[in-house]
Order: sequence, then structure tokens, then C-alpha cells
Amino acid sequence: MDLAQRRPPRLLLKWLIPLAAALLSAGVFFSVPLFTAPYVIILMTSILMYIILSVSWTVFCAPSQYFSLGIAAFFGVGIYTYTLLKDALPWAPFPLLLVAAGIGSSILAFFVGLTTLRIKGMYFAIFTFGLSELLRHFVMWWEVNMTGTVGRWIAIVEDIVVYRYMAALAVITVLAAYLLRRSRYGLALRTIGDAESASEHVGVNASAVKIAVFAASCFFTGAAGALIATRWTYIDADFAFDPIRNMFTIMMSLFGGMDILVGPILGAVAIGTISDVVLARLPQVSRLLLGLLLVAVVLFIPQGLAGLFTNLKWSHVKDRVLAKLRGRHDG
Amino acid sequence: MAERVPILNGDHVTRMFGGLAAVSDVSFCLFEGEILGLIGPNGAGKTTLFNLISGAMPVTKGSFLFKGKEITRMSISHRCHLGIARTFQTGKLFPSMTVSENVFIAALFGKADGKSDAQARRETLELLHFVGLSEKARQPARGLTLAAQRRLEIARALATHPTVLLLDEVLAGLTPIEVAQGVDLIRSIRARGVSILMVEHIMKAVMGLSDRIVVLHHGEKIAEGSPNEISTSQTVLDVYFGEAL
Amino acid sequence: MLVRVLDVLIAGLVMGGIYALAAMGLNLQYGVVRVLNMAHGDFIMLGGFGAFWLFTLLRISPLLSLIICAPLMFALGLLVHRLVYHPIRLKSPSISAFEGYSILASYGLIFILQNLVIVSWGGRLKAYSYLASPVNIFGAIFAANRLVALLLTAGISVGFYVFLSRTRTGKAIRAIAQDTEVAHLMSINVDRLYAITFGLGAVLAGLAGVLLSTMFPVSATMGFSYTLIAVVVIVLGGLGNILGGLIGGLVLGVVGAVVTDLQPGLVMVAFYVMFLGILLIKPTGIFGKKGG
Repeated sequence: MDLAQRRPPRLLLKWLIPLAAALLSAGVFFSVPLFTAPYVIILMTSILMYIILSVSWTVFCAPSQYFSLGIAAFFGVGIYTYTLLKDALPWAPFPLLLVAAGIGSSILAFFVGLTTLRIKGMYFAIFTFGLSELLRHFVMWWEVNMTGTVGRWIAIVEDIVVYRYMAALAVITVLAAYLLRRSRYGLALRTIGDAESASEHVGVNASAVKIAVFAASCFFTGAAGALIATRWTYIDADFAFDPIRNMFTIMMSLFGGMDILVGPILGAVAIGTISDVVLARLPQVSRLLLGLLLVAVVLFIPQGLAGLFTNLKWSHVKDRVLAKLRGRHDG
Repeated sequence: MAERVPILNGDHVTRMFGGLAAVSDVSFCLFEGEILGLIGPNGAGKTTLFNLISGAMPVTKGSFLFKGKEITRMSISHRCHLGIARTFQTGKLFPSMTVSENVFIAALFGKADGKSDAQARRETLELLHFVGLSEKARQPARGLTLAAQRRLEIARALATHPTVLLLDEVLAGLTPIEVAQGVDLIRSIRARGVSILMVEHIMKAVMGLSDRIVVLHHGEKIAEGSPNEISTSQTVLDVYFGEAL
Repeated sequence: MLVRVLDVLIAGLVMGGIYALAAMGLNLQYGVVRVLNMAHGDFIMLGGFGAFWLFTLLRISPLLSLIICAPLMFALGLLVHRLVYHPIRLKSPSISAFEGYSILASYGLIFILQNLVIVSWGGRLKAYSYLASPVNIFGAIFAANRLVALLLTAGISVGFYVFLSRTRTGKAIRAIAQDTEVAHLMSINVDRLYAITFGLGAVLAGLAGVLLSTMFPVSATMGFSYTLIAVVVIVLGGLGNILGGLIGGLVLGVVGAVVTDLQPGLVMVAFYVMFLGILLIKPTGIFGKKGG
């Protein structure tokens, strides 16, 4: 889709269509519980969470080519922000706490970005590499030495409620990612990934764009963390900052395909469906296989499944058909 | 005769790499509406000087003034907003985007003025037409011919509405016909009111286009003058031919 | 008090030497091959396990293990490079794309190596006792194995330095690190040297692992922290700068020993604070080029 050549539809349509799609999907998600068994709800909540993780990771990392290896850090910060605020303000409404959790993550992301995204190169990747483990150790140390407790107890929220919020958050995340990609900042981010120096030379304030998008993307990660944590009564640093989430997120995004929006969603559904079950039964073997799969994907299909599909010949046919439908003559 | 207005000044600019001076105590002045040629043997420091002017590299000593304003500490994008644009010797086009998107992004961000998408699109179309790339607008920037790549680099730089354009060997590797077309293009850029500082090895083009020429050698400015003066200067001839002995 | 300071200082230098050794391999790999192998710590872990099994099953002294593990680690390094990083390089359109994708692949490698070990030998700590008898220096007491480790680290570092500066292969490697174009022109077989360099990095990691195993227990998951330490060391010293890595390692070792003495749970935090500090003050590292 050539952003510079797109003949803009009427302003209303430009916003109406994505919003309508979002509301429709939300409607579908919300009505599902009426027809299915409880365990499906739990499964779907997990998958929706994985979608949020992979989309929020991809929306920044794919176009900019700055790979974050520590999404678990922002996930965990969301969880702890939620629990700390809930303890401090027990009367606060649930949605507000979720938003606060997201903001907590964004704040961490902002500072990480301020330190590492203003420098070109691998610094961002290696800093985020150890970040989740650092936070895990630090929170544990703090809990042992300062607060005297290990782990926190939180009030459970009903599965169905968690599911609905997760669905809403997932829809919002995907919508936000879509709108960003289409916007001038999405384009700017791609130029940063393509040729950062040239990007700055045409007036893009690369540091500001990177930091802003990264921080914004982590909002959704943090909120998702806070949300999933409400399914358990007890959380601790090991759970909140579990490094498997780093691996998972990268795996889902890469496997699904980083170049188009549908990719990470595909990856999240594919990997997320089998993950919880397989990981629980055969933790080491499945991690080993995941590692092999990641290396294999990087070696053989770096463009991911979605990338494979868009390269097939029939996509040309599809383009022509769509162009005819839109009445364009240059298709 | 109208008074010449200095647009870009370099004042005793030095850039060291470890113990080596890539650019050493270079002072120059680019006047409004002028085409200033920058020549010198390979490794003379020409691209380094461009990097210093555009902000891609910090100076070790010295300063730059743009329209009288001190810009030595400014970021690359800030200098771009003020009106300095450049092309790159190793073309840095955005490969994942189309020809028009490459220009579009520059039109959007080149000036910090919150331009609308529609306005940026209009400017993109105009510029693509100006450099002769209208037919290739929807092609990916990857896989363009060399001449087309150069035109795109120029269009992209012009999209930021520069007052000063730095051209880094934009004619290198082109066929004689393409060089002639390039020369015409550069003249028409100047006619649009852009002052040009160009690094070039193709002597015929540089001599023909430039109002004045600066010669660099081992990072130092060794000569400055009209094309005529430079082409007959013993110092310059020694540098280009004497060194071989 | 002086005894305590000496205690901490020597402990710091011993660990620092190991950190420097661990980082040297990574530095070499990044400086020459441009791969930031996040599974580097797992190579260290494998070296440690190698020494453990050789000692436990065959009663082979770790000193001998150094000599046995070196070629094995070299072979492993060659294998990993050929199977993973070499193909990625062939497919990458640019250096930064290569760096990006290889770091992602190396993340997968961590999971492969760690879990292979867990599946084979379990996830628990494994230790053996070697030269654990105490030695007295100016009143400060150390296990003999620490001093041996310090001496060996120094020896290996010096040996490696000589290799880089005196031998043909070493000089060729340095040439590539400086400028790949020039290296091509000098008809150096760059691809072969990439493989060799990567293998050498693996060897250094393995040796560090063997030395570590004499002092600490090994476990399948120990690799991560060592990768992190190696990374902080090379950023501190300047990416690709061998001497910088040496100094960085020693600094980190001493800082680590001091923090361990005061508040053991915060060692990693201290390292990260230093990481943060260098990124804010001079990201190119103490010995890195200024301003890129």
C-alpha cells in the first residue's frame, strides 16, 4: 500500500472503516461466552493476551529494526503497578487501575528509551536482554529485605470479566497498531529501520519517534500483564517477570511475520494455542523445540508465515480483483 | 552588482580521528544562489566535511554558521528543518518503500510545520515531475537504475525545502548522457533558489557548473577560486598529478 | 580492616579476570564477525560442564580439562557459526540487518543449549571440589583454586594477546576488525577467518567456564548471567576493543566483589547501574571512539 499515492477516501470513511471493524470484532468477542464452555474462555483469554504481546512488540520492533529482548520486564512492571496501586487505593475502579498499569510500563519504557534508543546500534537490544531478569532479582531482593514478604496476594477477578477486558484491550491494541502503521509516524519509523541516518537528514527526529512509539507500545503490554495477573490470587517476581514471555513474544512475532499486522496475530494464535498446554506438560522439551523453531524461522522464513502468503502468486490476482472492486484504473 | 549574502560559513573546522586529521582547519563560505564546487583527490576529506556540515558527525574544533546562526551543536534533523539537505555518496534510499514514499516522508518531516498529508502529496508529485521520475512513482526504491536512484535522492532532499543542498558525487558512475542531464538538473535546482555545495570528480561537470571552487587535500584547503583560476593553478595540478611520482 | 579490603580486592581481581576472559571471546566475535552471540554464556556453561564431567567421571584435573575442552569448544563454535550465523549473513541485505537477525537467532540458541543440558543432565547445581584448600596471603585467606584461576586467566590472556599480535592468523583477524574492505584486498579469506574467529571466541568462553567450575557450582541456567556480564564488560570497555574488555572485566570484578561483600543480592543491580552509567556518559565505552 503506497501511502504517498493513496487517493484519500472521504475523511469519514478513513476513520469509520477501522472503527467499525474494531467494534464488530469487539461485539463478536463479547458474545462468545454465551455459547462456549468455561475452559474455552480461559484459553481464549490467554490467546488474546498473546496477541496483545506480539502486536505491541511488533508495532515498534519490526519497522524500526530495534529488537527488544525484554518485553517480560514491561509485562511485570504492569503487574506490580496494578498490585501496588490496588493495595494503596482499594476503592479505585478496575479500568482505571489497568490504565495506570499500562502507564507504569510506559514510564519504564520511556526511561529505557531515553537511555538506549538515542544511540544507534545494538545497545537497546542488549539492555533489554537483561532487564527482565534484573527486575526479577531486584523485586525479589526488595521483597525479602525491605517488605519482608515474598509474593503478593491479590483479589481474584472473575474469568468472564477478565476475558471481556482482554478482548477489549486486544481490539484496542490492534486498532492502535493499525492506525500507527498508516500514519506518518509509522512511515517515519520504517525509514528509521531502513536507513536511520538518511531518515534524520530528511527531518525525522529519530530519537523522539523511537522513544514515543516504544513507550506507547509498552502501555498495552503492561495493561495486559495487570489483567492476566487477576486470574491468580498469588503473584511473585518469578511469575511477573518470567523470561519465557520474552522468547514467546519474539517467536510469535517472527513466526507469524513481522511485516504486516496480521502476522503477529497469526503467530500468537498458532503458538499461543499450543503453548500453555505443551509448556506445562513438557517444559524443557518444549523450550528446546521453541529455541530450534526460532532459529529455523530466522534462517528459513524470516518474513514469517504471513510474509510467505503475501509472496505467493495468487496475491497478485487478489490485488487485481480488489482494485477492480474499488474502481481504480491504475491497479 | 548585488551584494553577495553568505548562507553557510565554515570557520576553522577540524575533525580528528584518533591522531589523524580528516579535516584540518578548513574555512569556507557559500554565498546565496551560488554553486560551490568541492574537489580533491580521494581521501581528501570531502565527504567528512559534508558529514560535519549536515551534523552526522561532530566537529573536533571550529564552527558552522547558517544564515549567520551558529549550528555547530545542532542535531541533524534540526539542521534539516533550518534548511540544509544532502545526498549521500553511498545512496541511502529507503528500500522498503516506493519512490514516491521516499519523497513523501521528506515532504512531511522536512520542515517542522505540521504539513497536511494532502499538501505533502502535492509537493511529492511536483518534485517527482521536476526530477523526471513521475512514471516510476509507485515502483519500489529497491532495484532502480543508478541514474534513477540519484534523481530520487535529489527529489527527496529537495522535498525538505532546503536553502542549501549538499550534493555528494551525485554524477559518479553515470553515462555521459546522464551526466549532461544531471548537470541540467543541478542548474534548474539553483534556479529554484537553492544554493549548492557539490563534491564531484567529473572535472568537466564541476568546472562547467561551479561559480567558485574549493580544493581539499589531506583534509586541508589548498586552493580557492574561479574554475579558471583553479584549472590553471600549479598547486592544484601538483596535487592531482604530482603526487603520483 | 585491611584484611577485609585485601580479601575483597583479590576476590574481585580473580572474578574480574574471569569476566575479562569471558568477555574477550564475545568482544572478538563482535569486533570481527559482528555477531553479538547472546548464547555466549551458555558456551561458558558448556565449558564448565565439560570440566565437571571430566573430573567427576574420569578424575581428570581441570588444568588438563582446559587442554581437552579447547578444541571441543572450537569445533562447537565452528559448527554454530556454519549452521546459524554464516547462513544469516549470506541472506542479510546489510550489516545492521545481519546484527539484528543474528541477535534474535542467538536468543533461540540460548534456549536450545540450556534445555539440551537440562534434558540430558538435569537442572540442578553440580559441583566438584578442586584445590579447595586455603592459602594465606598477608593474613587474607583464599582457596588455592582462586589463585590458580587468577594465574591461568592471566596466562591465557597473555597468550591470546601474543596470538593476536604476532601470528599471521592473529594479524589477519585484526585486519578484518579494522576494515573488511582492506582485508579482502589483502586476499585474506574473510569467510574462513570469520569461522575461525567465532571458534576462538567459543574457546575463550569454554576456558572461562572450566576455570569457573573449579570455584563455583555449574548449572544449566548459569549462562544467562555470564552473557550479561560479558555484555556489560564489552560495552564498558568499548565494543570490539580487547584491551578495553580486559580493563572493563577487572573493574566489574572488583565492583562485584565489593557489592557482594555489602549486599549480595544486589550484584546484578550494581552491574546494571554501571551499564546505565556508561550508556549515559559515553556509550562507546571507556576506550571507544568518541562521537562515532
